[in-house]
Amino acid sequence: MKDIKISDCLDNIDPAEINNIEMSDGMKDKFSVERMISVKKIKKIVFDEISVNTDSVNINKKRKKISGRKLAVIISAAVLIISTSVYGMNYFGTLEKYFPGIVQMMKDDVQDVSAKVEKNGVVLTVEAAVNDGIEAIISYNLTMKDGSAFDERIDASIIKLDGLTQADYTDRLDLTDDNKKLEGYINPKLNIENGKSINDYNLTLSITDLITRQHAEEVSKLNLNQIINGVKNQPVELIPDIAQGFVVEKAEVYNGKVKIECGYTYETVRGSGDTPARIRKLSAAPHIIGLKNMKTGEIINPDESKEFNKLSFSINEGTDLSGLNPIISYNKENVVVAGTWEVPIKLKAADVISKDINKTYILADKKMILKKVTVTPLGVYLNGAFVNYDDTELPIGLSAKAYLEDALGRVYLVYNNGQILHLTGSYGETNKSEYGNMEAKFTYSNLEIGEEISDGNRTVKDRRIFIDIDEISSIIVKDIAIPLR
Amino acid sequence: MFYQYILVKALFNFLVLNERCEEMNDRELFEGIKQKDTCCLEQFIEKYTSYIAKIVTLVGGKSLRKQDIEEITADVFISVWQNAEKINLIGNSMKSYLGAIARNKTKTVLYSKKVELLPLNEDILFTDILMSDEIAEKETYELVNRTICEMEEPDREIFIRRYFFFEKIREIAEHLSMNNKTVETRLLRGREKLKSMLVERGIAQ
Repeated sequence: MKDIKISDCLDNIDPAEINNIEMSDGMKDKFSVERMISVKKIKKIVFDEISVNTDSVNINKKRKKISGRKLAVIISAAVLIISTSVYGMNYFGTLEKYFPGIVQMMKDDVQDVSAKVEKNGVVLTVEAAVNDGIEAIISYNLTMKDGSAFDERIDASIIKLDGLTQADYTDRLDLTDDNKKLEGYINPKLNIENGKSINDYNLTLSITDLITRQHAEEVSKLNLNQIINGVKNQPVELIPDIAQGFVVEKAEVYNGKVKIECGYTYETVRGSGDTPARIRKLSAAPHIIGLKNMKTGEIINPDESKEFNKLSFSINEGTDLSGLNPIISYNKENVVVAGTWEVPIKLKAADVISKDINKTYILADKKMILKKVTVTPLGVYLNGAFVNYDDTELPIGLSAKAYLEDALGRVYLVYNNGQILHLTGSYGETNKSEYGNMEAKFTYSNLEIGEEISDGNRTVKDRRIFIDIDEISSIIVKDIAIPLR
Repeated sequence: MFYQYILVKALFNFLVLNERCEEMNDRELFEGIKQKDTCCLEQFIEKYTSYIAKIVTLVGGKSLRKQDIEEITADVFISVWQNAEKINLIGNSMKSYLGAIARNKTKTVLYSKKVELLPLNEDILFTDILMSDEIAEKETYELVNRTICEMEEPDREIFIRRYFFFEKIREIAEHLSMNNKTVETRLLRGREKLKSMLVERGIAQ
């Protein structure tokens, strides 16, 4: 007996069917996942996995003769690296790495924190911060006191910003190429509606335990023939450390086929950061041809404390299953340096410029009251309210003229493909009341610095960009532009 | 000077070693992955991490932690690496394949966390259907899949956005410049058609 779900029916959709379906614009802007996800970490997980699972990986990195153009790039980049390290700017090096271009915009507002704490041979340094009261970016790093390199798999077990709840911030931490520094940033963002500023909180950056994650596999030594022919729903054998028991949950025979559902139960809680053990595949069994509908790695929770990692497959009745064993793989945390490193941070508020608007606009049957526009080093905020708006979120945009200042201090008007800049965002959730507060923020990261914005000859990438509050011409609600003046 | 040397060396390695892969299009990268060329895989990860993470976040929303998103994203690349030979790339873009894999992997993780992605009354066509065997089950699923994909536009897109990408009705309506009610009505009618079709074929009553 089975439920037919439409969403399950689309599991095997032909990819061509989704070819022309783009993510909606609101969703694109809603999640700034690029900031959150580290490509380096993804690469590490992938290469760890394929190196364990693949006997012969063809490391095919042929060295090619370097072209003159590339050589020129390398030389000029080398000159740049040497000259910037001579002339300083050290304290926002990490910010520059993660927010290239944006730091150029906000460089006057970067606070040099340079606070350190050392414990068990490891130094935590909070480097710099930018804070506009609602959002902040705080860069930090971890190094060995003696300058030695970390294990290449090193990571921090827990990264916290004490003073705020975990939902109020995201973090990122990566190992540098020479393995000598873990560096990253923490990005607190307050819910604007609670009316508080980040400056109202006593914040402490807290890092607990430096760990490595070890990828491992174990092959079950069970005799599936014996289990399937002899028992049903009966725990069979314990696998040390990981599994609590191997169970054949169900074995059905119809039309000469055997459908088998089996798996491991194991304790959900192992190490705090350990990933659940998953059955990834079945070991090679050369005499068995064509396992049907094999599904691996599905984890279900029969109760709070245990998980059941399920594997199901079909096979011809009477097939010899000897040599066919489930393989489980998992990541396990090992503490390399134990301890908690804590650095209190006193953030300074950057200059913000506000302009009272206090105007009411009618949008079809809705009413919007725009109270204030604020320009900060990290973005543009709108404050106001919607009346009789019954949805939780609303796509909202902003048209503004932005300026770019070159190295000689000359100022140019910046266009995006010939158009006035159009920032997009969505305002935070309201409580669906008749009178919903409207708070929207537009971050400069949405500008795709250096990619599309140019005035024809210059790009924004290496220059300072700023928005003049008097040049915000309109806000856009549901694609309708509302002039502010 | 040592630090500067390391930086220059890293830059040199990056530019020289990746030169071959960085100018490849999707098809060439994919052919490289089929040949188990790790340089192509690395370039592929660079190119598509952001896209996959967006799909995972779109489907999973607030139910996923950062670590989950990273794991699923990595899983998609592992899956491409392990199953490259089974993928028959049509055209020159891998985007739709990756989107489909990312969606399915996210859905599996969320089901394991007992997160319902859609209200059950909207997702379930029939409950407790007795399937004679696995083949019958598979055929039923394929029938519903094919019927949705053969729907007239915009119904086809509405159904795929709702049931494949789990987008909210409001988001679908905004993207297609429709009212929420219009989208709801089209979904309702489409579901009724699917139900009638299954009844006509004797799969459900």
